[in-house]
Amino acid sequence: MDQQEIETSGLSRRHFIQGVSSAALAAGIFSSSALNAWAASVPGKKGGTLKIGVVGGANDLFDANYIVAKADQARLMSTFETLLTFDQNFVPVTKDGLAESAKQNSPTKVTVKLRKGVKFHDGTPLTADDVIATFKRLLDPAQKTTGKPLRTFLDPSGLVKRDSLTVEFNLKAPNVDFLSVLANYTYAIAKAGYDGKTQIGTSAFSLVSYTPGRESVHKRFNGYWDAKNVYLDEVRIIDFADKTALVNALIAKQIDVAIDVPFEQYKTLKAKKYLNVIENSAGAWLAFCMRIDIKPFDDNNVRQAMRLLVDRKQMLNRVLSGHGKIGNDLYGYIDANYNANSYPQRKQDIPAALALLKKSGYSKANPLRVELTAPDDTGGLVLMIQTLAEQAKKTDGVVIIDAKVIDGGTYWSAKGQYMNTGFYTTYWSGRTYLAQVAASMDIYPETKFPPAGSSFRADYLAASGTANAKKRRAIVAKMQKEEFDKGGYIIPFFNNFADAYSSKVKGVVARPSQLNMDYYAHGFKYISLA
Amino acid sequence: MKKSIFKFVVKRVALGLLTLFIVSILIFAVTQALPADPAEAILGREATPEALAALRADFGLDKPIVVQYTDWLFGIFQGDLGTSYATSTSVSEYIGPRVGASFFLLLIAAVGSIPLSIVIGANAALRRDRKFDTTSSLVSLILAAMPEFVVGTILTIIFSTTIWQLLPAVTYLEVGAPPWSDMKGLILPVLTLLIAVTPYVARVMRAAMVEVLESDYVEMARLKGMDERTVLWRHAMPNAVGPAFQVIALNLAYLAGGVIIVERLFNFPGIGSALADAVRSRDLPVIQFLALTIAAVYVLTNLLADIGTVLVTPRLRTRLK
Amino acid sequence: MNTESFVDERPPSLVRQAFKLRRTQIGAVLALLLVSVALIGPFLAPFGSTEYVELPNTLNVPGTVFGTDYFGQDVLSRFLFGGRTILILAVLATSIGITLGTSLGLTAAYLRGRADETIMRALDVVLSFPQVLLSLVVISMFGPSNVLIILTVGLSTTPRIARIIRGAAISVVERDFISAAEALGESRRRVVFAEVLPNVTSSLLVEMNLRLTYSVGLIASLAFLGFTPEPNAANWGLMIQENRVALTEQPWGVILPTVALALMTIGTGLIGDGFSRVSAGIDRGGKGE
Repeated sequence: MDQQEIETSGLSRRHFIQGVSSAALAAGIFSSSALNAWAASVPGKKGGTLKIGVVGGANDLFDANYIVAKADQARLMSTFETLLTFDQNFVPVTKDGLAESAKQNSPTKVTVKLRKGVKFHDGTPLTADDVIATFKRLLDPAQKTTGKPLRTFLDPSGLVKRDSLTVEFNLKAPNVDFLSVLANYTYAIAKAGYDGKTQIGTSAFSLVSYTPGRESVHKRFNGYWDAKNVYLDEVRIIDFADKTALVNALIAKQIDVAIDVPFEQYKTLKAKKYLNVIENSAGAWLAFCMRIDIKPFDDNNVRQAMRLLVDRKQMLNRVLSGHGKIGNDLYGYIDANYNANSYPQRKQDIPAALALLKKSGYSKANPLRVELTAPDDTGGLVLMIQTLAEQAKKTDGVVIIDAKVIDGGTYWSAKGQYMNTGFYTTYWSGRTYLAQVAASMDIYPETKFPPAGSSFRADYLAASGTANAKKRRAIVAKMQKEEFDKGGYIIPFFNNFADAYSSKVKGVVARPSQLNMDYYAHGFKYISLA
Repeated sequence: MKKSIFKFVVKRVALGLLTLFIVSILIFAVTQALPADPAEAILGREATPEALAALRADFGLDKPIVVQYTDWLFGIFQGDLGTSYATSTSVSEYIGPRVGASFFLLLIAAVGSIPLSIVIGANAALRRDRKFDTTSSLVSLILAAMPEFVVGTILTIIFSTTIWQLLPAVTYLEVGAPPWSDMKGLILPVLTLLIAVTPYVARVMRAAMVEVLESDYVEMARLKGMDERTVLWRHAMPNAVGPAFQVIALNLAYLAGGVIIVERLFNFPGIGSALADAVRSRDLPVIQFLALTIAAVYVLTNLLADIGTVLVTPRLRTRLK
Repeated sequence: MNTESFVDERPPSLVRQAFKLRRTQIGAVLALLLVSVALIGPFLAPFGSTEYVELPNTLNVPGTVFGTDYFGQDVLSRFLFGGRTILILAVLATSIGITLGTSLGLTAAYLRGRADETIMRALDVVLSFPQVLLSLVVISMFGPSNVLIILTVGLSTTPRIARIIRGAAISVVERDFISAAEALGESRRRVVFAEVLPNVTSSLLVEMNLRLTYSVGLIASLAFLGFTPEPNAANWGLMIQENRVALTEQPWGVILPTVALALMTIGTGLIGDGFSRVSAGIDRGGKGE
């Protein structure tokens, strides 16, 4: 099977939502012509139960506004819907969303009009009250949600009900791309009074039962607002503790879809005629974090030297078997303004690294010895630190990296290595540039960048408030320059992910998306079985 | 004689309970010696100080250890097994159906492996150094050499995914369905358990039988002119049963351990996979309860084996007087 | 009845007699072969154990025999490096178990009565956990480390061996020649180790061989469950788990260590078999009535 990479063009476009420059696609999917034909298949017969396998356990979460692992994403998408969604160019649109229209009236005001006739799974209608209650929950610091970045722009008082189907968002700080914020999949709308325990959403399938560590059962909801696009009778999301067992179950035809299949199994899966694999890249990234306020990383020579140590191509090969794109220490791959300064690709340059280190007094006689940690629950990070430690050996003893794997519970805990030490690792899913800046500055200040005296934060606010695309790009370019020259992240690559399907699953769309299975088919719409 | 046997049994049972009590203290002590705070492990990346404090209060983690222990122990007697940290449901709700499932799996495996290992072991001893013995010896050595997950993986490749596609690769039990609702899906896990346990037990059985067959009293019986069959059944077997009992107990014990691996491999919804999961997420109430349960099963089987051995070995019975 | 004759039966002739058997010889050859691979292997390896060679899980890589493993390293080199650690771990762990277990089992059987009870009950507490469970709980609490693994495997093996030894020794202890030795005034220790021990050797040897392999398997199984002291350490047990996911594409990463383990088990098993046959022979031959 010949592989063709489908890249959609990287042009920024205006979309129907007024005056906002959007993120453009630099992501892609990988498929062959045969796959294209299958993927473009039109859904057919109604009925049937779709069995989806995902790696999960008793720890799984089920919350409209909070996720940790892929199983949690699957369950969120199965039951709840957001106001807006992202299309394949990461432009916010109303398709599959609860909004009939969404308008950015000004950098500080957004008006959303809800669709008529949308019902929750218990039969009650969706109203503006539910939307406001959801966002209040997101803004509430006492609730465990992903709402922290919202607080930079919104206060509960800024949520105004214009009528039963119209909500006004009055922002306290300008954000010209607030519509993208509304398309965040964890900002899904739950009923007013949602306690995180009774899962009642607006999606195509209502939750029948959920047994943590085993499976959740979802039944077609007959009152669904877009019922004409729903074909299945029932969906089961089944947990697997072991990813090999997951793949085996698919091969043995016990499940129809396997979410997030390991690279090592791609060839085996593709060799089976009754299976298809769709690989997706959407700007997710793994990174090394250097805290710019902790020795020795408070010295920019050291930081830039570390960045030059990395043989990125080899790291991509070792860690992901090549399934990804090489990174250049900048995030926001899916953003139109990614690498606005067109920096050439950084490569491993040991002499340059040694020269920088020499300036700071490091040599074979006085080596730079650092500890680098990764949690044992994220496979890629473990391989990354081992690879870097190995690659550092090329400095012939000037840089010595002590790679340590720490158990997940300790690593991510409040006093763990994550965010509390000088050199460690992290993972992110794809975001637009400014959204990531917000996350990396405020929610998870992993590198404690920017340093005091920098204009970075002011630039961020300015860029968020600038509607003019050109001006924005210029500000972003300035910000990226600072990060490129002085930042604390080493971003070796952007990682892909893939799902495998039985060929009797129809209606699957192969296009770039942040989540597996094309945002879990927005709640398993458009999918049918044979 | 009966009175002394009765006394012995009572004493053994009492000792068993004492053992269990000590075990419960040990389990509790070890699991509370965590380096990582369970509250933080649960809340993960998003933990705020308020959320942590609330969680600790919820789970009673702020009480002194002895109080926590007694609360836990008395709770179990009242049927309150605690609340799982991971699922936030009661442990009994989470584990209940799984206990039945694992028990069923173990039952089928035991029903297969015990007779199989005794028969293979005895036969090998009887025909020692002949073809059956050498072949079965070699095969059981090779099989015993492989960890269960390797055996399971190979079986899956042969029968389910790569060479033939005859059997299911995982066990799928719908929530609420009884464990026998997917018998086909049980074949590979049971087979894996059988292969994991039988070779070991067969070899020990064989060794015990050989010692008996070549021992003085059996020789005496032969010299006295008895035919081989009588020698075997009347003199050899009764004395081989004693060690065999011990070995059966260990067999069941080994199965219980193998279950942890096999369940995870085949995605079987039992206590083995729950335990593996709980250990990874530091779900203390679940770990404590399951460890205690498995220990209780062990103590029980050892108890039965001990009593059985004594009842069966004449010399030991006389010692009781 | 000349009781002196069998008091003179000493272990050395046991060894010599055992090695006269073909099976012991074959076993020894296998075991020796594997131990050599484990010890000398690192010097023969074409690549470093963590050296990057080519894309992971690639079979036909020029310069390698078996291709690359899950992390792009040479399968053959990793295999050659992988015997040492695992053998040391397994031997140490098993030795602890066997030494402690045999001593305790013999003592309990010989002393009988209350001492027997106390020892066995104490061991019962440890015996109440499957080895996997004990290792799992301890390692998940304190983190995986080689020392911890050796200790947990060794200490959890102890009661198992003690139980088997005691079971076998109990019947021996009842026998006349023991009472005879005691009557002759032999020291208790001598009776236990010189008289009882040789007669339980067959059980012991079977145990020893299987315990050794089990330790290796346990280390691999802990890795399967996600607990390993050194990720990417060149270690046969770990290799099996690491390369398992790609088994259908790159089988050698699993096949080589598994075969090595199997051969080691067969080797030590045959040796154990040989010894057990011979000691059974002594057992019978020395006490002809």
